[in-house]
Amino acid sequence: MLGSSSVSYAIALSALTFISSEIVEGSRPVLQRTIESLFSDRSETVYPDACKWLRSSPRQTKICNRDPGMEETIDVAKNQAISSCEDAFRYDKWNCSLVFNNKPKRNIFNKIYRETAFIFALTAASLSHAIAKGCASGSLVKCSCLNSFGKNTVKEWKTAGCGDDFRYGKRITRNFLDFKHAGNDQIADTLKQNVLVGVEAVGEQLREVCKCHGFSGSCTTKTCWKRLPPFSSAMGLLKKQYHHAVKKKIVNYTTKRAITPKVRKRIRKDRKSLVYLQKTPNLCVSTVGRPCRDRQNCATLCCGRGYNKYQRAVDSRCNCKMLNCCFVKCDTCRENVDFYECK
Amino acid sequence: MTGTIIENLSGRKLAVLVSFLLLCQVACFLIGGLVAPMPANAQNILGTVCRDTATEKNDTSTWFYNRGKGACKTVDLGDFNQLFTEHDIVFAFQMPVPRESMTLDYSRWQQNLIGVLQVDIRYHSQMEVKPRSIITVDARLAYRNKGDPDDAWKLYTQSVEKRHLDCDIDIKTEEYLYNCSAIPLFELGSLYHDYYLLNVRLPVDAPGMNANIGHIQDMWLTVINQNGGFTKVWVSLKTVFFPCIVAIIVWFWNRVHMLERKPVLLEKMLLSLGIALCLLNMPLEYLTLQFDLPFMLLLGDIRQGVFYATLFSFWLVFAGEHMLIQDTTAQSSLKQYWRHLSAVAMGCISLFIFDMCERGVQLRNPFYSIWVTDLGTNLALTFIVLAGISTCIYFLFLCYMVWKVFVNISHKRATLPTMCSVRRLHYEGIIYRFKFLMLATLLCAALTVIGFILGQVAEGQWKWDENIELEYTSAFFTGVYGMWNVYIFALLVLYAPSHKRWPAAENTSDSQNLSEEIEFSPLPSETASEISSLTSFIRKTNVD
Repeated sequence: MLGSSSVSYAIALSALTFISSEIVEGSRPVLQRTIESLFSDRSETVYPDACKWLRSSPRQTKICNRDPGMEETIDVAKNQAISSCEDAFRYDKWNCSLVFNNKPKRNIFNKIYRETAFIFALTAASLSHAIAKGCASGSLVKCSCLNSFGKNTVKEWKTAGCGDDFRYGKRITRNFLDFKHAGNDQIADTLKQNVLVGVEAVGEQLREVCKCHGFSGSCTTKTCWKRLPPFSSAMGLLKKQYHHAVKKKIVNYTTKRAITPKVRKRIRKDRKSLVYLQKTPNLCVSTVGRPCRDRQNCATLCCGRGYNKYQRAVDSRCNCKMLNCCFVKCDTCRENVDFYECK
Repeated sequence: MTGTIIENLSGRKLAVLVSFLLLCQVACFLIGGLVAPMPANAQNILGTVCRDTATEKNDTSTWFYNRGKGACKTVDLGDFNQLFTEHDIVFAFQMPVPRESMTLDYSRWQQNLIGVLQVDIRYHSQMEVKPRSIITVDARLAYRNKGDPDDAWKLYTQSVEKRHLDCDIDIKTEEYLYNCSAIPLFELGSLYHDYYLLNVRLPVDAPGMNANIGHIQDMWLTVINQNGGFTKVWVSLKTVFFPCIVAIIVWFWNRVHMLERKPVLLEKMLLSLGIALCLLNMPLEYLTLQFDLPFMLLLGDIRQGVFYATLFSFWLVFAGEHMLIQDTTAQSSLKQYWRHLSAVAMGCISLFIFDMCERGVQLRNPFYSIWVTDLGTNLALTFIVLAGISTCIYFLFLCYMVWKVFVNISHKRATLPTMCSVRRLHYEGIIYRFKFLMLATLLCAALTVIGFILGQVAEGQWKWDENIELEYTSAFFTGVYGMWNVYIFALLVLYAPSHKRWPAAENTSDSQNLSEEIEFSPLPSETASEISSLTSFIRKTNVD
């Protein structure tokens, strides 16, 4: 699938940027195409057929058809990724926009910027999280027990139980993004690593909970399980990763130099962080008119141009009372709030 | 004069027997590690938020579930603008959840079901959840069987329960969730039906009820059940052990009755130990495959408790019988040991009361927990502390007694060189074997403790290479279980009365051993009762 383009990467290094920006639809790996279309779609409409809308590969169509709940899950994953990104980056120079500095030509998917790396990680994390949640709620019915691969599931479940849902989510995410056919050039390696970092961000937040149920309820028998974290805590970790992303030089992959132990050690260390290849352009142009949070935030966000401060009366919820489990009863209060906006 | 088998068994035969028993022990460990899966399985279920449109909420014939015909209308709790009240919200958990596009059902081999509730509470700056606030849960459990229509849920049990909710939060930002501790919700002693359904409501009937628990975003239920494969291995072990132990008890008791004397205390204790083990070994689990027996958890606890109590009492009596009891003329009986045994009785009774308060009440209401109310917590803690104290007293006392026995033996050893060689060798042999058995007991106890600690520290699975995976937790259970069976089997065999008579040469002494003959001639009171020669040996020295 990627044969032609990977050869071209090898031939001319300079052509790399050109190729990746002018990729012909269909010749791109599923991994890139899927994440791009998932993250680019900001409309609120719920597609009846998420997989078709993705222009999915045959493999993806198969995954979707196998499980009626899959489309809804993908939709959940998409919305979760976008909304949590917008929330987390509201006061950053890059605010989860798809283009840099409002220039349509500067699409973040054209090259692998720090932001692109982050989006790959975020979308993959969201996907694996949503699938694990779908398995737990029963909306996905195709979830497998990982310890019984290829065996009679019902029988196996009765004898040995079932593995945890997040491992299944991880596997389906890899399958869905078609890791095997993502290619093995530098771009593919970088993107794959970012995806794995994203999925691991959720995995690291899994918390083990145990229950003792032995003799008289003592801990002679103890059963533990992994509790799926809320997506927001994985998001917090990912944002840290975003700030600590590592830039890599573009290398010609066909002439791989011998990997010395020192290099290998560095590679192994780098494998845990997000990786990008191109420097993000200066985003100061785009922050004109953006709201900022406070004095300190405004100083960085407005790139030293200064900011306007004004007051506005805002209706907000106040004196909230927890009437019951699931609802909050609040009064509406009107108060003057300081607003900051970049010049 | 006859002794027990252990005294008359040749070293070679003993070695064969011990190595055979060790092989059995290793086999038990490996069966658990290689054949059996993990003892229990946990499944996480995310609650579906259903909307109850009915006006009458106490109706237990309407059920809310998310799969199958008649599934409920789901609502989004994140949306504040919906027109419904808290009374309309039902969290539905349908178990088991489907896998591989197949509707799973519980098998009776899975034995029991334990439910643990976890709530995801979203942080709101204006309503912080206080630590240790109380959540009131209206929980209703229903069941359905294979072949029933999708909506034919029948009420299993229903209860309104209070639970403590311990929550904390690291980053106080909206969007973030509290870290809340898991809430044990129910324990079913039998898994008789195929499908279960839990409907949870959070009632607000009284002022202040459920008022301080924040904004619940999601509710998770983790259900733990025993693995069918583990039950099969466990029950098969029991099925094998049960007839073996019964047979050896019959053999043992026959042997005791063939003697002209009445059974002595040690033999009675051995018999009761064997019976207690039989009780534990009895594969009653087969009955659960046919009948609904919710009391199996409680019964299992009681069976184990009886076994441990007998084992502990046996050790005490065993040590005591090999010590100098002042009143040597009378047959020793259990009454002499009442002070020693009171610690065991105390521990057992307090644990039994605790168990009845928790699992006993759970027979009536599976949602019940003694730990919820302050009074209950204090009561439970009192009993547990009491049991702990009695265990400590018991072990201190046992150590003291064993130490005394060893002091006695070493004391008597000093006089051994003055005896004739045949006799000396024999007594040295007895002492050696007594110490050997003492060592075996210590080894068993130590292995149990070490195995338990290893299990707590290590991960569940040990990998030797790519293909061999050892399921440690199961291996520990079957290993320990097999070990105590083997141990008691060995005791019954080795401490059965021997029919071998001592070689005539030993008793017909030359004139130079005459003094010793007098010394070692049986005590008048013992002529009728043939007690183990070691006991008599020590007693005699005491009389001297």
